[in-house]
Amino acid sequence: MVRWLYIQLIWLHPAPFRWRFGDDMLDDFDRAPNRAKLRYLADAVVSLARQWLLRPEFRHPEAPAATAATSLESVGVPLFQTIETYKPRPAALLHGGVLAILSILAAVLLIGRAGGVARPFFIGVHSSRPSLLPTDGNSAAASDLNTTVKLGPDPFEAWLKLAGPYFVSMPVLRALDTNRDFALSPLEIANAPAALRRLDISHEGKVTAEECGLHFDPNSLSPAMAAQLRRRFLSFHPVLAALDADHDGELSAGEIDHAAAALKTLDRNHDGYLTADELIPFKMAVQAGLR
Amino acid sequence: MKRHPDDYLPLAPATLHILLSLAGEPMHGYGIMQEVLRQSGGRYNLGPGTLYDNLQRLMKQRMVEEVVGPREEENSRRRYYRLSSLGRGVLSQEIARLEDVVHEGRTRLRSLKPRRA
Repeated sequence: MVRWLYIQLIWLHPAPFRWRFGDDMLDDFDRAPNRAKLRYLADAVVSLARQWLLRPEFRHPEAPAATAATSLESVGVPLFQTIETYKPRPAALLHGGVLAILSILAAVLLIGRAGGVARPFFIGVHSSRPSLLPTDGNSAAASDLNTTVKLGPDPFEAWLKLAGPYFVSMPVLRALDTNRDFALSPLEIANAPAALRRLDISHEGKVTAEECGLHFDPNSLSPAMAAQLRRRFLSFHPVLAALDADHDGELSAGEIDHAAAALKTLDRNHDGYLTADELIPFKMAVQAGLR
Repeated sequence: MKRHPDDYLPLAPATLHILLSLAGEPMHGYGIMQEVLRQSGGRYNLGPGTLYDNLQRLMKQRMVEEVVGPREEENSRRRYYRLSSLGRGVLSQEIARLEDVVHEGRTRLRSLKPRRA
């Protein structure tokens, strides 16, 4: 419970601080003795207030709304998706749930009644029968006493399962990860400026949030809200947050030129590669149980 | 505009302790917290939020820089930090300033001692 609260407090910090220090804060929290955890929680509350109230220079500057609006109009990017606010009605969810349970029960009853004989649904429910669990006494007696220890699944496999859909959904990562191994090699990092320029479909010399994968209907939001949405989108994804050095919600020509150096700041273990655990957003990893 | 180490003085206690911790070898965040605790004899218990807030500011001011961790820790995912030359200069100036304060304090206290008749 305390850990969950601590994660929420980390998540409430400004994005640049969170993606740079969030993992280390959580790691320090996990290392700390239990008696110190409540103090760390209080420290995180103070840090949260300090970051939002006293550190405006580390957050993104407010971009003029007019600039964002005109850039959107001038880009003329076709938009294929909108952010839907639709939620199913509670009654519909209830009906669906009841229908699913009834269908499963009917299927189980039909299987159990097949052939006109009632069969037990679970082993040993009615009576134990040798035929239910056939055992070979000879094989048990002759078995070796050697113990085989089976290791659990590689924790990185879980990261890779998350990385697949994440890389596919992010145009920037699709462009950077040329060999589709869900990791960015030193060569792919070095080629980042060229890969990013290919995303500039409007040929403005910059990559907008929409070209980075943000989909929304600009008519549904005010220009100021749209600009804020773009900045939030870029700050949510570590790879975009690293590239967008001035936090203005788009990747300028200068930022694209320095993309390789910016990406290297994400390399937490300094092995030269950017792997899924270094690229997937903190909140997504927490929700997937990987943090 | 390049700033002189004196421009950053006097340092806040947390900043001083962090710079002092990094005066030796590069350290990661948890190591810095442990070192600050040791330096202060257990009186100054720095939390992660306070530490990384200060590190963020010190890196922005180019007093601290991130480095590659030691070889035996190369599989670790932790970030390591060390003092830059500017950070070392600031720390030296602060220590010199504190020495002056201590000297001044001792002189004053000596003058306040009651003289024997």
